[in-house]
Amino acid sequence: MSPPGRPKGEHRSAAREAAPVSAPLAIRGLTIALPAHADRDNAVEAIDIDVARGEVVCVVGESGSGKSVIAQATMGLLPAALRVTAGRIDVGGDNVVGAGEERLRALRCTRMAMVFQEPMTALNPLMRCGDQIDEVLVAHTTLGAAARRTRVLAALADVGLDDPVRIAAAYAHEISGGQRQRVMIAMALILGPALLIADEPTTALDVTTQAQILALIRRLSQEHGTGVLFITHDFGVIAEIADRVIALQRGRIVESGTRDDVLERPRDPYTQMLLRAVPGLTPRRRAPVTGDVVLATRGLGKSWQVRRRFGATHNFVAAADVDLVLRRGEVLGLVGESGSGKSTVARCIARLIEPTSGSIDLAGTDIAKLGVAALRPLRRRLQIVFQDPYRSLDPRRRVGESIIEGPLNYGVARDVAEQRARELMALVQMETHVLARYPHEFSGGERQRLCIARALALDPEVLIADEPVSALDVSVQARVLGLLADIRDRLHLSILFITHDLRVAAQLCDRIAVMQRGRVVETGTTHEVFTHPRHPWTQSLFAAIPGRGTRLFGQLS
Amino acid sequence: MAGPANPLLTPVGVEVARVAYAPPSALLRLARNPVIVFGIAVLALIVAMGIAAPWLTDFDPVAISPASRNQVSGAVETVRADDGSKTYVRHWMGTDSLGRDVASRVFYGVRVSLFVGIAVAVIAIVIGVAIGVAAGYFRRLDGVIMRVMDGLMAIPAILLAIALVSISTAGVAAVIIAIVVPEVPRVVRLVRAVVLSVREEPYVEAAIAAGTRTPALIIRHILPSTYAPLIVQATYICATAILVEAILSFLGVGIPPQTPTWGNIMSEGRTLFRVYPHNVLWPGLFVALTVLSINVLGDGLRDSLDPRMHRQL
Repeated sequence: MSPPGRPKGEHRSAAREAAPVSAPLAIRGLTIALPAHADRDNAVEAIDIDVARGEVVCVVGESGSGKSVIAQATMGLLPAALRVTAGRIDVGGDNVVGAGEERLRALRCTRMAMVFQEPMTALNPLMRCGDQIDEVLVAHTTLGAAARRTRVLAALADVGLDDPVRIAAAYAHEISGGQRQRVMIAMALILGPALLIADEPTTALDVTTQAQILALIRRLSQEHGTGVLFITHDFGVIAEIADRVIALQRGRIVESGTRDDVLERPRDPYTQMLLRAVPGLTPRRRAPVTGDVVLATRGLGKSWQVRRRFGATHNFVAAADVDLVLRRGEVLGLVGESGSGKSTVARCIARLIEPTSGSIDLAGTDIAKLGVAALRPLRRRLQIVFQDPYRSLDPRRRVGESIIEGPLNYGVARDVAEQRARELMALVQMETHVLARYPHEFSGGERQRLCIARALALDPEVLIADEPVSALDVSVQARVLGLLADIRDRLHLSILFITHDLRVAAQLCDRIAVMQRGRVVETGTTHEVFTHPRHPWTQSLFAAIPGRGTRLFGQLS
Repeated sequence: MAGPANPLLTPVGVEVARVAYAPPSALLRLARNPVIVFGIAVLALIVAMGIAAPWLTDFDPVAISPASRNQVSGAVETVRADDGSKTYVRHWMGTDSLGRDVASRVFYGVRVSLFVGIAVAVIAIVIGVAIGVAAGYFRRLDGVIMRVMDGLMAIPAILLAIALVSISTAGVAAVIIAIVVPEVPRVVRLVRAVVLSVREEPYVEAAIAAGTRTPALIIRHILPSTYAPLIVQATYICATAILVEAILSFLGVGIPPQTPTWGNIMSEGRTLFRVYPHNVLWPGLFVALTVLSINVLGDGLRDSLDPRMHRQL
């Protein structure tokens, strides 16, 4: 089956060579060329992947490794700029490379189906969920309306939705993210395809929802014998769901084996590096911080008037009664799921939005109600680093200009500010000549380090880091976290660290405050919270962490 | 220092962010777009005609010559000098019913048309940006400003011009005001929409946190995002203004009839259109060519400056 003249990789065992022809997926020698001027010749090169019935094969790699390209090629959805130059992709025994649009349309949903990362954009916002699933049946079957309706409801029930009738009648915005992803899975599996491709299907979901979706995919794969090609960057997810793991680096398979082999006995240096970079769940023990209090909020709250129909208003409470204390040199983790109000609290403290109640004590002054002019001299004491490094730097200004903007605002001479910017480059481990470049020339991790440098340019006492590593690859994430810890130690900085990821919080935080629905439900030292979570919500957050309990992440207590 | 990874391989959300902040080599891209090059070439030719009008023909555009009325295009006129010597001059586009050379009037008309077009575009953009930033950035003003703009948008340029001319005198200023007023709300809406989306960007919030004062914030971080759509909008306004000016002059409520403008030439030639169509056709051709080239330029600029169009180019 393998094309002649191509050397066999060591990852190809004889057993899989003899895989039956009708396996859900058999990729052989797949090479996909990138357009000219790309950073390498081929998006993926000489890829061999087999997925057996009822098996979950995880493809892991960092952004740019080519893992999504494999999924797109298998579905026949490659962007026009990419071409398959060698190899074949057999889905249930039929090669889809070079198949015509008509043939691909017939195979999609019946033979192979896909679930995407972002269920909100993958569903049509103007169609009811049930109608969208029905569309698949109309296109591929000759069933009557009543029979189709029965199958749609059965499919929705099968993916664990309690009230299929209500979900079928709902629009995508009316149901939660987890429910949307379940609808997507129901739609993908309704015709019983041999292969399900899941491209980071849980990355956009909260950790408790993620755990449910992973369990669902696992169960459906076993019940229906569906082969699953699961694309992810998260080793926690792999530990949870994979039978076998394939690691990609810059378009080449560097490691392939069973889950336990790869996670516990990785042979390739790249896989070993990735696994080392995965933050563990064991909190580091640090002496309690006893410095002065630099920031304290008391009863901080933020609510919005939301207009309802017929002029009625509804008070939406994003945060209420938030009491936080941050000492000099301390890292306080603010942990919660999306919508729990943690970013609202951060933006209130940074006075990017006006708090509606409570006080914010910064270095002895309550800044919660200060006017613009009175606030200005205090702003420099508190700086913020945002989640999305691609939108945090003004795309039209050289990064050096962005970094010295703050000092110039406060009357620092330009040459002094520039000298300081060069010193900061050393602190964030970058070279000084990059100051003359524009943001688009940098990778995500580099941009985030530049954002940290910009925040430090004003010598703040408090740094608010709003999910600073969530958008980054795991190896880059480890570097940025290391940098933040280093800065805290060197500059004796206080950091309010906002994250949804308990594993990340364990690495850096001295104390942790857990938020749920706008309120802080539990506060304590990282060690206390991790070893003896008191609030049921905190306990359920821990229970949902993917890969918890495996040797990779360490035991909780 | 590694550059950004291949955008085709990164998750979609990230890719959009990268493309949206394209490298600032927009000018280079413009020069490679054949549509833009064509538009600029035709426009340059027309501008050159306007500048060189005095040397392009032998006639004064306003001189009346009863002896040579209603000549067809290409007609040759004999001019007798005082010493009795004869010279021959050619009316390339004929003459009108007062004996004025149409070619000369058309070339001089370029000046009025382009002046009105550019003046309207510049004034509408300047006023529109000021009001649009106010509406988009200072949310309290938004409701009031936008209702006033909705009201202004309901005023038709031609009726406003007739009203303005009847209370003051006809002239270029009245025409410009009449065209600017209904165009301003369109610019305001555009600027407001851009400001509303950009002010939520983390880099703007980072600048606020760094103590940047509001005026500097707007000028440094918010306004630059409006440049590309405004350049495109300016070309459309310019083309519209040239058309409306011609219409107003044609209706006799615009610029005084002796001034050579394309609208005036057509208006003058209207009565004898069946017999001598050249009086209407020549200026009409120039109006069409100018508006077409400006619109083509605008479309090309939009395609080059709008990041969403990149992959289709």
